[in-house]
Amino acid sequence: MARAVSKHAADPWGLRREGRDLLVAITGGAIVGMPLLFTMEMWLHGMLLGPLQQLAMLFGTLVVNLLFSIVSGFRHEYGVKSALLESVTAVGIGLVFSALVLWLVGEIGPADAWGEITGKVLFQTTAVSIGVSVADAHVRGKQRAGDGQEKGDNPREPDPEPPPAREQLESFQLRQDVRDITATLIGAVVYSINIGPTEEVVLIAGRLTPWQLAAVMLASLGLCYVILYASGVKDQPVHIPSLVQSPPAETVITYAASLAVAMALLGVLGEPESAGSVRDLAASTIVLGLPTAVGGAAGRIAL
Amino acid sequence: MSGGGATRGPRRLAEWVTFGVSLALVLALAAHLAWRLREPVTERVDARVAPRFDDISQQAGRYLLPLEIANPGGRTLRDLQVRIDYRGERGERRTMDVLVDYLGQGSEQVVYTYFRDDPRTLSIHAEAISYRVD
Repeated sequence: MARAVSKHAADPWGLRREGRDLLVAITGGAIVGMPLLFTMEMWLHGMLLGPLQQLAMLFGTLVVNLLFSIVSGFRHEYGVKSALLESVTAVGIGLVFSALVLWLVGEIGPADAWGEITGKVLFQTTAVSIGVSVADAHVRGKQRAGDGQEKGDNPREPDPEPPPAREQLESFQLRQDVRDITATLIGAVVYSINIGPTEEVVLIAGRLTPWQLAAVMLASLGLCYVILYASGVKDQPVHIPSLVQSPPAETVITYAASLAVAMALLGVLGEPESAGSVRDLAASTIVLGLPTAVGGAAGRIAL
Repeated sequence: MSGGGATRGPRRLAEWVTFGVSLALVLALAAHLAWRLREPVTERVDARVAPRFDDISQQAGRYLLPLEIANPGGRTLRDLQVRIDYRGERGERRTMDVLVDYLGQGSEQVVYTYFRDDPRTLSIHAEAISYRVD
């Protein structure tokens, strides 16, 4: 009780708790929705939807999200009332996330007709919001070392037992680092192997300016950080503390590994145009790097 | 369902703010779509094609003529076919067809066409000849 009161006093507006919940929500939405955000047929079908179909889709998405929120949701609480609130929030998050990614890949812009923008965004929102609505069951609590923040523990604190020898700690750390990078590589390959050979990568890479490509890189890094943070990487035990173990460094390493996977996939499976010149290869790698980074970071949750 | 009956204290301001912003977004979208329902539905669209003679350039000995294709209607056009009629060197009639996969409602697209001779001297006439809507 005293603990609950002190937690409330430390975060009276619930900003920290809401921030953690939103990270979990974005992680779920990104993992489920990203492949569909890179699918041309989804853009096309969204573009062709009339206002009545879009209204029906919005209503249907709310209903489906309500059902998913009753059994999971993205907040760690259950009940019909909370599910009602969560389903609306999940759709709101889905709308914003879908619009941002579609804008990043140049699929929607201020010159497009409103009907097409809303159609494309709504069509993608169905998938993204479902990802948000199952996030509590599939993202939260998947970290290997427990949810230290929620429980108030600090897994980085050493155990009360006598500390192991330095050589043993180095061995533990090396094993953990190898496991992490392997999980990243496997997640990146499994997640983006279906996107690498598609025409969408070449299409998007061809139309983006260098500034837009830089924005895609920043977004990829941001998503990597969000997913790693939401999966609880920061709560993993650190045997040998170093700069490499910090969340920003983990993010950069995960993104770099994802870019390497994206480039390799393009070389092996990609459309010939994606490697036509150094500029094309770099642009295609950055574009494919966005879903690959999501997969790489998600690999740390799944494996 | 995990964590049976998970309780985590009362809802706080930040959660209500997130919910409020989301609800506003959803309601605004629903209102916008409902308002658009009042627009008349028509499958007849006046697709327009305009050659940009003032923007002709030369590339590797050929002339490049931009064609501005516009869809002012409220429906997305699929498989829009544009026919370009022009007179050849000896005055013979020639045609060139351009196919545009999709042209969004109220949007424009520029298509570049190659000619061996200066398009300004070829009596060019371009028009849309077919499209379909879903």
